[in-house]
Amino acid sequence: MNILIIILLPFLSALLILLAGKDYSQRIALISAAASVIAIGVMMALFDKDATTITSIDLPWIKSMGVHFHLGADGLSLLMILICNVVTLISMYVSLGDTFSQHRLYFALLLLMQTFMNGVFTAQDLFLYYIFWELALIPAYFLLLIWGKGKDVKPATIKFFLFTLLGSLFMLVAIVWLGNIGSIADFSLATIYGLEIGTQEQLFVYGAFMLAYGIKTPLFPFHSWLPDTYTLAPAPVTIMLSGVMSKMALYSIIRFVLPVVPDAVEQYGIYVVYLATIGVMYASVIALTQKDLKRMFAYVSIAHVGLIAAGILTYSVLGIQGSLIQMAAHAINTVGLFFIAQILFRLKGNFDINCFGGLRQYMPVFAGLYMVIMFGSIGVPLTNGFVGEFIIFTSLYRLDVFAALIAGSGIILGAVYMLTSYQKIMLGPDTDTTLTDITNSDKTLLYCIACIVIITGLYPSWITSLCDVSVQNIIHPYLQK
Amino acid sequence: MNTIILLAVTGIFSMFSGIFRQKQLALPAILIAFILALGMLTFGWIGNYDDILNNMLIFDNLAINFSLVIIFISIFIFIMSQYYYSDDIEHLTDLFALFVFSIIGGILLVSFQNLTMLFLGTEILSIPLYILAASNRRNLASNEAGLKYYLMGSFATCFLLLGITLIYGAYGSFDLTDIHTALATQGISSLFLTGVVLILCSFIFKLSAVPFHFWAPDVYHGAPTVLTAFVSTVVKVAVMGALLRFMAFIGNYNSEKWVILFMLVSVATMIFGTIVSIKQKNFKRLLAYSGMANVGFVLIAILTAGEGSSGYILYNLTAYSIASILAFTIYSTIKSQTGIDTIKGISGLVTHNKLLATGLLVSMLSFAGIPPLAGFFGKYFIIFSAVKAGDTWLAVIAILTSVVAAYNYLRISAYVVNDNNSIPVLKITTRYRIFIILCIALIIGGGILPDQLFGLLH
Repeated sequence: MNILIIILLPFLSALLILLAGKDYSQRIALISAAASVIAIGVMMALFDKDATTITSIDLPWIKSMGVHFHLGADGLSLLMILICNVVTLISMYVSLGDTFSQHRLYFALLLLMQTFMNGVFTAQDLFLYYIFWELALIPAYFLLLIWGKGKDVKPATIKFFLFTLLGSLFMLVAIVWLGNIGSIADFSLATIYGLEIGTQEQLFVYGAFMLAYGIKTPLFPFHSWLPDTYTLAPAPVTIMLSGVMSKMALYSIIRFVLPVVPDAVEQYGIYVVYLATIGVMYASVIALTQKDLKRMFAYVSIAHVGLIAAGILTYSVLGIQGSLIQMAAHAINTVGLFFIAQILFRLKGNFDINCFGGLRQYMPVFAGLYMVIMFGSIGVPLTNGFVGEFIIFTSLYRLDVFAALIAGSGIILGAVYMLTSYQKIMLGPDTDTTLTDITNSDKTLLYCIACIVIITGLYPSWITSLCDVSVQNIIHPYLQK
Repeated sequence: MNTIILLAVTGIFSMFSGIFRQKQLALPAILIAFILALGMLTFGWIGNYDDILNNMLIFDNLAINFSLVIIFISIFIFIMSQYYYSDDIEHLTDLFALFVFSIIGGILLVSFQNLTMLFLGTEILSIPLYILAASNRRNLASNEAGLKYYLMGSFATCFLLLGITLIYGAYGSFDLTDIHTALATQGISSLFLTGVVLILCSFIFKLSAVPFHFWAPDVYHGAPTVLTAFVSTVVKVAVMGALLRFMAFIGNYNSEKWVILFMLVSVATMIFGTIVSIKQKNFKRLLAYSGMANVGFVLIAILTAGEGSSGYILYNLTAYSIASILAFTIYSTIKSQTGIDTIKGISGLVTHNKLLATGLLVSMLSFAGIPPLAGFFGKYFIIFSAVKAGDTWLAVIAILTSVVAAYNYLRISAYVVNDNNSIPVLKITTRYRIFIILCIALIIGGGILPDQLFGLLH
């Protein structure tokens, strides 16, 4: 199977939606998203049997600059594409619950976002990767701008765009520099991996890349765009942003930063680990004080991605494997949490934690499913959050006890605020007897998410076995030096 | 040379068509002449005119490429003018003729090999512009623009003339080749240095770069929109071409000093243009300042890649020009039908005017340098040339200013997709629609296939 399918499917569907005479947007979008998930499922099954069945595509694109349209996938890419496509499907499904003006454009933009993110995960040419990386921002920008709620949506969106643009332009300088080290400009990953770069230069490249990824992830001092953006975005877009877009940066750190500038990571990676762990603590403390449920989940997300970034930058097989598991877990958990926030929003028309109470009496199924997903997010054993966190902590502990301690206390705080909010919303007295349990369609989705949470918790090793070869390839050349 | 003759005849034809009351002939004739000129340029200059012209003009690759771009963009300007000037305006054909003469000046400018021709080219380029800036005679702002442009332009011309005189005084020749020989034998005289600085000042003025930029916003704002588009696109290409030629000429002598001077100008222009543009409320003024910032950007390429930069510069300016012609066209349509000329005023354009809104969004995102639009590669090539030359800090400044500038374009795009319907359905013709779609296609196509476009320019 050619990897190009994964790009073409959503892209052509988006075109179809925009160009079709009649409005079939919802149906096309949903079918396309489901087909993408099936396609990636088939690919993973094939990949499991024989890694060479996934063929890549390599066409010269801009000859004078040595840029190729080169797409390919290894286990790591497949994992990320799986996350992306599953989250997109969920996002489409959630979109059906609300009405959107101009919904043709809306669904087309969601599909385009999926296309470009898939492009980021499959690009084997650094320049092409950059193009996809920037392109993914455009649909997100318009989705926020047109369908975002609240009067601050415009400044928040522009802030989000400018922050990411700033980071990625510095990355562009680094990419240009990397691609032109040799006598002929060449941006292909194989060439970039083979470069011998001096330590001083590595530091600059590392700085430029980490600025871009630090903003996009986001890591601690660069996170200020996130809470507003996540809060003001419509729920499906928040799901896409938190589920996939933050993973784009984490994936890129594994894919580009670690193998390209290994010496810089070894020397200076620890500082980013500290930043990330401080970020975990910081975000958790702020989350404690939030009254707004969606905002609180946004900070939870910052804390979790901070931990994942710390795990990656321990620069050990263990840390990276843990981070990959945690990435898959975070994608599904955070999507679940934002979906829950949306269901609650539909009940009362706002996200204020204090205006809910005692919902469990009327909606027992919802309460149960909420609890499962929340446990996944806290990292209770047998849920998907546990394994990844445990492995990351182990690798952090081996690297630096202090960092492990800070991050650990952050995660404990995480349990505090999640449980407190659950208590306020679900337990306690309430006089509002008009409520009934959530609709069947919402229930189905929550059941699915809860199943994934538990199954991945019981059997996380599919992720490690899928990505094992890629991780070895990325980390081994350096360990051998 | 044939092109210059062809265009001159066309300009005169345009004037006569007004006299004989055949106005409708002028525009088709001009467009056909332009397309012929493009063909003539592409297939080489026919004949050798060295003897006749006494080696005053040189028709090398640089001249041909810049002339091609000048005429190519002019075609767009003329198509745009069709939607700007209504048919019953007096002296329409005279205005067209003035545009054509100005374009001839531009072609002379990019092919000068003799300082006299530099002066003649500058003047032939500028004098029609002074008239055109004031051509909206009943509008006070237009008159102010014309007068301001004329007075300031005269100063710049004085600088240019004095500079040329000083160089002549030092070496006794206007011819670049002769001056080269004289420089090699007699060494650099202080008269030469002063002369060069004065000539550079006049270039900086024509490019509206800091510190000689004060005329630009008022002129851009007051002048008819077609002229604004012309000044910010064609004129900049022509002057950039001349500057590139001039820098190549002086490049070997005391090059560090010019480089430092131009670095300061470039950085100051980028920073000033960007920062001031943030505060602008008027659409045209904003484009004036952002065009200024772009000039600073382009200067980086001249600084870091020298003569090799012509491809980068042409790509950047072509991409920039098409995007700004698109923006100016849409702006003038909105202005003429609703009277709105502020950025806030265009809020909700998308509700009833999908095509115009798309056009404006594409041009804004291209300005902001988002891949894969043409504007991205315009910026990319310049960052590339700075990084390759080792001046990474220039690239960093360019990036920082372009992020700030992106704020402007995002601000506009945010207004465009705003959720209100204050702007009614604007009347547009099918031909206009095709023109807009063509511009959009060029901007997107230039970004997806930059190699092909880039190849054409080499």
